[in-house]
Amino acid sequence: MMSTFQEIELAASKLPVTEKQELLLQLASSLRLERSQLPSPRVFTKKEMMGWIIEDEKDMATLRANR
Amino acid sequence: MDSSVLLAACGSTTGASRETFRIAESESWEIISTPYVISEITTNIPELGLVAVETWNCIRGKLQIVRDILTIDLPVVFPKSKDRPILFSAFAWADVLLTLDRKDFDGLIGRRFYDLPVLTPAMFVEWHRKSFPAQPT
Repeated sequence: MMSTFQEIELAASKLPVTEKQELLLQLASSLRLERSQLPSPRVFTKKEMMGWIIEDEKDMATLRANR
Repeated sequence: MDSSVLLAACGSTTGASRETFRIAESESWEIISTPYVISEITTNIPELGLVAVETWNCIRGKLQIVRDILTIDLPVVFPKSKDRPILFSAFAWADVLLTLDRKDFDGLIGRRFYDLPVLTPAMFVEWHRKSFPAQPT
């Protein structure tokens, strides 16, 4: 059984042109489908969110000070 | 507007994220977001406390919600698949993408994704000050 990228690539290179084309179309189709599905929402840690808030406040304070 | 900016705007009244809402209101500009971003805020906002949740309920009504865009017909070298909907939706609908998320958007902040500027809220406020010097911010 083929499992590594190199093995699959080697096997694909041995296919006749028409089957290579078919494989390419199937891969493109499955890739499009995979990418068209919305991922689940990201879950942020409180530390991460507080980090954004602190950076945001600090940035604004700097802008106010430089006015 | 990325989830990080909306969360910061809900979590603080004195940050640049909240300032962008004031600017948008004074300039009659629209702040755009998508259902995907809304789902991220709904998932994460309780962690910031009751005041942030109440602020979110107010802020949400000020957003123009547009459809999520999941693919574009251009080559993209951007490994974070979970951020693709935000980047692609901004590319399709917005004039600028605002984010504080340096972890996922690192390398794009302060630069452009094709013709879409990717800025922090502070960079945006600074740009606004330089472009509209007479306007109070």
